[in-house]
Parts: sequence; C-alpha cells; structure tokens
Amino acid sequence: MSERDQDDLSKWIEGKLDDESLASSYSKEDINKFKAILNKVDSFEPAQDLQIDIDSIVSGGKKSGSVFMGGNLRLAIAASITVLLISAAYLFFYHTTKVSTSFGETMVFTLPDGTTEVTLGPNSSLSYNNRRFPRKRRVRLDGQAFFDVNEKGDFKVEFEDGEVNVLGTEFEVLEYESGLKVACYEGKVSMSYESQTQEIEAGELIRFIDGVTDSRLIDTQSPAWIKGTSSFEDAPLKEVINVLKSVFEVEVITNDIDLERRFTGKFNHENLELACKVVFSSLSVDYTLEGKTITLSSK
Amino acid sequence: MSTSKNVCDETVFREVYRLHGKSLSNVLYYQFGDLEKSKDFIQEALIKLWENCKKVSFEKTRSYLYSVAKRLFLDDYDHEQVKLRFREKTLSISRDKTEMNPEFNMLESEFKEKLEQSIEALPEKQRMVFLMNRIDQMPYKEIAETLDLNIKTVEKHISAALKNLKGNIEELKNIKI
Repeated sequence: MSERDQDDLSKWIEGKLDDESLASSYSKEDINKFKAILNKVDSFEPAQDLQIDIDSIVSGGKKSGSVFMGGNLRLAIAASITVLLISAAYLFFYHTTKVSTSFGETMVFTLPDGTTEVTLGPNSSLSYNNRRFPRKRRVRLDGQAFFDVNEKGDFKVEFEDGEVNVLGTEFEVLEYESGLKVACYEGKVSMSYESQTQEIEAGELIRFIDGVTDSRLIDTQSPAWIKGTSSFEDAPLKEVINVLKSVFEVEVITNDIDLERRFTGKFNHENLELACKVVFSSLSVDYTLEGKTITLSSK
Repeated sequence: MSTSKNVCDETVFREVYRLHGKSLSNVLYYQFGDLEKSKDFIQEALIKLWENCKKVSFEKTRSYLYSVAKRLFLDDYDHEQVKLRFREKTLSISRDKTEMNPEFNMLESEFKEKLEQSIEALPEKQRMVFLMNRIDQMPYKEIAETLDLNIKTVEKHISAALKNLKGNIEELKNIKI
C-alpha cells in the first residue's frame, strides 16, 4: 500500500477522516468490511476481570515495622498471617522449579503428580512448572535422567531439539552436545528429535548422533548409572567421554583420536583412574591423567 | 527538587494500580495471549514496584511495570502459543450470534471466531497496537509511548492490521467453501 493510503487508513480508523475521503483508495465493500471488523473488535474485552489484591501488596510491604511491636497478640497474629500470605504468593508466582545435580552426583525425587519418580544423572538439570504440572505433565531436561512414570496420561520430556512422549513406562534420556540417547525399559515411548519421529519399545535403546540413528536391545531393568556404575555396549567413544566428563568433572583433550570407535564395558563412579584404565586401555588409546585433565593420544 | 508524586505513598501506589494495572495486563494479554499469566505477572510487577518504590518515579511506573512483567513472560519458557478469546461487552449493540453478518456473508458467531483466529495470526506488534487502540481506546500517541515506538510506526501497524484482518477472514472463508 502506498504511504498516502496507509496514512489515510490510519486516520480513518482514528475517526479523523470520513468514508468519502477513503473512497478513492478502497471500494465501498471493503470499507464496509473494515467497519464490520472495527465494530466487532470494539465490543470485545478480555474474558476475565483483573482482580489484584492491592491491599495485601500494600500491607505486605509494611510488615517490617508492625509485626511484633506493641505486644498486642492479635495484631501480631494478623500481621504474621499477612506475612505468610505474601510469602505464599511469592512461592506461587515463582512456579518454575529447577532441580540440578553437580558432577558425579545423582538425585532421586518425585514430581508433583505424586507418582513419577525421577533419577537425575550427574551434571544435569530438570525443570518443570510447579503449578501447571499436575494438569500438564511436562518437564525440560538438560543432561540425563531416568523416569519411572506410573500413572496413565500424557507425560512429555522436552529438550533442546526434540521431545519424548510417554504412556506409563520406565525410560532413560541422555542428551549431549551432538545427540541424544533414549532407552525404554518398560511400556513404550515416542520421540521426536530434529525432524525425525520414532517409537521405542520396551527393551530398546535408540541413539541419534550427528544425524545418524542406531538402535539396539537392552537387557537390564534400569540404567547402570543409577547404581553408581556406567555400562556401555558398543557405544561410541564420544558418548563414553561425555559420561566421564559429567561423572568425574574432567576435561578430555581428544587430539586426533577417532571418536566413533566403539566401547563395551563398564566403570564405577568412585574411581577415575580405574575408569580411564578400563575405557582407554581396552581401546588401545594412550592417556595421561593430570589433575582434572585427561589427554589422549594414539599408540 | 521535583514535585513528582511519591510512589511509596499508599494513595499514590493505589493510583498507579488504577491507572496502569488493567491496561498493562491487557497489553500483555495481546502480546503473549495468556490471560492468567498476564494477571499474575502484573501482580508480581506491582509487588516489585512496591518494594522499590523509592527508586521509581511516578512518571516511570508504567514502563517499569510493563518491563518487569514482560521480562517474566520472556523468562517463562513454558508459555504457550498466543491464544486470544474475547467476550462481548453486554452494553454494545452486538448482533445475535445466529444472525448473518452481511459484510462477510457468514454467521455472526462464525465471524467472531474467524476474527479471533485472524487476530491471533497477526504479527505481534500489529496485534498489540490494534487491540490497544480498539479495546482499550488508547490514542496512537499513548500506544507509541507504552511500546516505545515512533507514532508513524504505530499508524503503519494499525492500518496494516486492519487490512490483514480483512484479507485473512476472506481467506479463512474461502478455505471452508
């Protein structure tokens, strides 16, 4: 539209221009349609009234001066109730809860639906909306977690490039820089990652790494890391190194080592030296361990 | 010294709420499409303002409240897609839902629905500007100040919004047929 038309139209909307002045640019029919839209929208209002308890905000701010002065018990009770309400209001508004673990740490907790148990792996975080959760079971994961979802109903795990949807099941999700691993121990899950969607049955494990999908069978009841061990079967070295990093808080300098090489075996989360020995020696990779840095080189 | 009203004064604070509470909660609704959160976040912004009443001048309260509440929306990863539903003010001469809307040749109820969908589909700024002007009857100048836009830009958004709505409703109608 020309600048002139646009000017006229905005003036007409404002009521500063009559229909005739608009007739050079728009048909009678168009003008009537514009009017119908404006009339309708003018009759609209948001479907809920704003009711904010301004009194509690104002009295809440004054709590510091009036709480225990004067020794009047009733006043003290009334004031402390106000204080309590205000702090409840704070909890109510800050309703996104985030649970995080540090390196080498795992944590078990129950989500607000009261039945879903989560084991959060090392160096991971899980957030969810406290208030909305019972209605809409949705969590956001960075890192690794094992979920035991008991109750029927939708349950969704979101991460940076995709999501996993579940119905009554036990499963594990591990997200890392270049990909994602989902293992299903019970029931069935459906996952979308980047543009792919795939169903995963109980006893199946799927890896998406750098656009390559590979699937395999698992024969355990739950991931080994829950019990303080990491166990791998034909896993790319890349994945093993990621686990080493989050369990032991180490830096790994990989130099020219082929990270697609496969590793089968397990290590305990207690002993870094032993873990390095198990992983790298079995792959015939030389390594040096200094403080928190592992440097790799080919033999 | 400035003779500005003191926001820490309870009467002044209540005035701030009366002046801006509802209108800003509506602006946030038009922007993010979540009525419940718009209300929650404005309430939270008011609590913050009361705590910081010494630092904010009366004239700046509107933009203070808006920017605090907007930040809360932007930080809230969980917020849903824009979903706007309106009820019609009882006093207006709204036509019966089962009557025909002659301009668009569809049922009134259908017209309302398609109009809501088309509003949701508008670009954010067009949607905000248009609804602030029509529903809250805010003059262009005031809209420009609230959203920190040039008044010419506001005019551009509002005329574009109206044309887009018309086009969109016509299109939605054709799809049905």
